[in-house]
Amino acid sequence: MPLVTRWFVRLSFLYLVAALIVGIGLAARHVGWTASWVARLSPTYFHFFMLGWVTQLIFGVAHWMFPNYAPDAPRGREGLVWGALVGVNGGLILRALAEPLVGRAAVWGWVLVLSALLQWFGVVAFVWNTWPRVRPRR
Amino acid sequence: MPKLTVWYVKASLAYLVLGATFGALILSHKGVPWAPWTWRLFSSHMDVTLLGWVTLLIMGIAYWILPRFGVRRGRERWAWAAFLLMNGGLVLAIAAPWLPHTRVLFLLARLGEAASVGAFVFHAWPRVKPLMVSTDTSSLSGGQRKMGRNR
Ligand code: HEM
Repeated sequence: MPLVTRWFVRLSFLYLVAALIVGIGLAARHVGWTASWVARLSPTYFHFFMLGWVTQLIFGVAHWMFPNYAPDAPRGREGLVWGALVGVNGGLILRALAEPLVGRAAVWGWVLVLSALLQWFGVVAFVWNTWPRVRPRR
Repeated sequence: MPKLTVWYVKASLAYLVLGATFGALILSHKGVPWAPWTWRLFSSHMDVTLLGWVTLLIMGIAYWILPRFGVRRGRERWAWAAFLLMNGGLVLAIAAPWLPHTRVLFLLARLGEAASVGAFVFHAWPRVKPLMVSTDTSSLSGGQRKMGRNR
């Protein structure tokens, strides 16, 4: 299992745990046990689950298992895949921080823009590297 | 990787980029308002990520790795139909918010997506079986029974 795959898989487990913890906070909000700003974490809950857990697990396993790119570079350009790891995780964490705080100070709005860019570049970097590996076995 | 899987997986990767683009546009607008129209991408973002990215990827990989009947993958035409129906449904779902008769188009999109999933399940159902050669072909159509014997 390549190193970057181990990072993807372990991080994906952590996001699953984190998503369910945020889910507890959201449910607790509904019975009035947590502060009202917790309700703003609803998108964090969804994206920790679907991007942090599901998509990231897929990224790790696909990078490991898809048909090789070429004999001298079996998994393509690994740098792009590390870039995807940094972009998706950096973007997700910034989003979780900034989304509940948007409106308090202008800077959080810009952090959210940065988060969107990071996630977007992360996804594109992964797809860029993986695209040529999706082909019938040679 | 069979040809149909290549189509499924490449489509799913393309939908991931599209879904991330829609999501990033909405998120940037949430941060620093610049284009209220980005909210019109919201339903497309959900459709494209959940059905286009995750579901098409799962279908494509399932088509590839589920147990086969000899060299054949069972009701292959149904898997092709599922691919076309999902793409039709998604294209309609993406276009609907920007066109007249939005609600009717959404209904058609949902019908296409549901029909796709139905067709795929019909394809995959008999392939969910132990990997070992099975002599029980009673649940298969005549054509598939023949394929099974040809193994
Ligand atoms: C580049 C990555 C992504 C970005 C920037 C992004 C952004 C967004 C934004 C801004 C919203 C609206 C949140 C709100 O209601 O205020 C949203 C909603 C949603 N997204 Fe994403 N998204 C991304 C990836 C994904 C992926 C990969 C999935 C699923 C596989 C997904 C599924 C959803 C769902 C189900 C919703 C509706 C629930 C909710 O409002 O939180 N997104 N997304």
